[in-house]
Amino acid sequence: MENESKTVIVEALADHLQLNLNPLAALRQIASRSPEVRSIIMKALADDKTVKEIMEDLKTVFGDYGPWLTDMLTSEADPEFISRVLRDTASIMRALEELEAERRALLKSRRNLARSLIVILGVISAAFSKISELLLYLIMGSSYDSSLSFGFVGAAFALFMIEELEVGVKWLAYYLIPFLSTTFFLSNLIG
Amino acid sequence: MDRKQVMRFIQLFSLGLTWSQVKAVELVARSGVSSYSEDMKRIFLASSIEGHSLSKELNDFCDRLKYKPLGAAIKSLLQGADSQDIVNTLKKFIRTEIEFENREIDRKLAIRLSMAFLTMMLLASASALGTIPPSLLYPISILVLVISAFRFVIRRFMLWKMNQKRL
Repeated sequence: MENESKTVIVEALADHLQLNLNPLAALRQIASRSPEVRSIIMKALADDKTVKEIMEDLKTVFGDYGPWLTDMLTSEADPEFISRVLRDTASIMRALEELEAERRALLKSRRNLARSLIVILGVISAAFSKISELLLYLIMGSSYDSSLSFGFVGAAFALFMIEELEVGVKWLAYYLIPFLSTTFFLSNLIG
Repeated sequence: MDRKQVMRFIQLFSLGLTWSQVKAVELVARSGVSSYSEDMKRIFLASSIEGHSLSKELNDFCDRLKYKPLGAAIKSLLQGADSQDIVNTLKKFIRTEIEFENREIDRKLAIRLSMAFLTMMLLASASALGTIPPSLLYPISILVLVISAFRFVIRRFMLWKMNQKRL
């Protein structure tokens, strides 16, 4: 379920609780808000479940906020007070959604930066492997294929770089394509 | 100090504070947000069983914190007059943390790219100058890759474990 609708449902719950002063009736009222919530609540009401059991069933809908909302709705506190707390909870949820969106946008830009750096790393690894082979040939007069070794070192650092960013396995493509193409190009150039 | 845990702490504390200070402490204590939940459990027990003042315990906790901005944010939340104050403090704190988090990522990326460059330069020059035999490049690179993969797996596992603990 979208976060937005989660917040809207909590707000609706607060409204209905203020009017009905009964958590069970409020839950019945919010059933119309989303098909997912409706099926869970209707089934729970048909089974004569308590508020706590219904909230347990709704855990997947409210996610992280589930236990907190259960605490509120099953407490002995004044329904008007619970309604006010629900409203405050909804405003915090809204603020957090906004902040989470900002965070996601910033992380996305960092992910793009990491991808560009991984492409550069692929080129650098290939270049260093060929430079190393060339220098070895010029200084020692012997030849040794070090592409795989530098490829591994580059891959290790690429993995090190994406550690924080949850880029997924795509990083391998971002690394391998420039690495292999540069290696191929330099091999043909140097011979 | 884990920034994500700090943000999570403030989120939960603000949420609980809409009810009462006791609820805020209880909510963090139950959440399992690393060492903070242990501290909150201790504060909760000290106030509910030993009868210590909750505000005093929380103030002492804030003073003891190594990460001072967290302490300042908790104090500011405790002094907040209404829910709007709570939301404003929460927004301000999390926004600053997000900015720090991004700066930290930038710095880490720069350091890691420089390290990669330096390592490859050292390996290339050492093998070319005969300091290390070229045949040693392969085991060294495998070792570096294994260490990096191990770190990666451990980090992902820790993240997964933290997500399991949420609220």
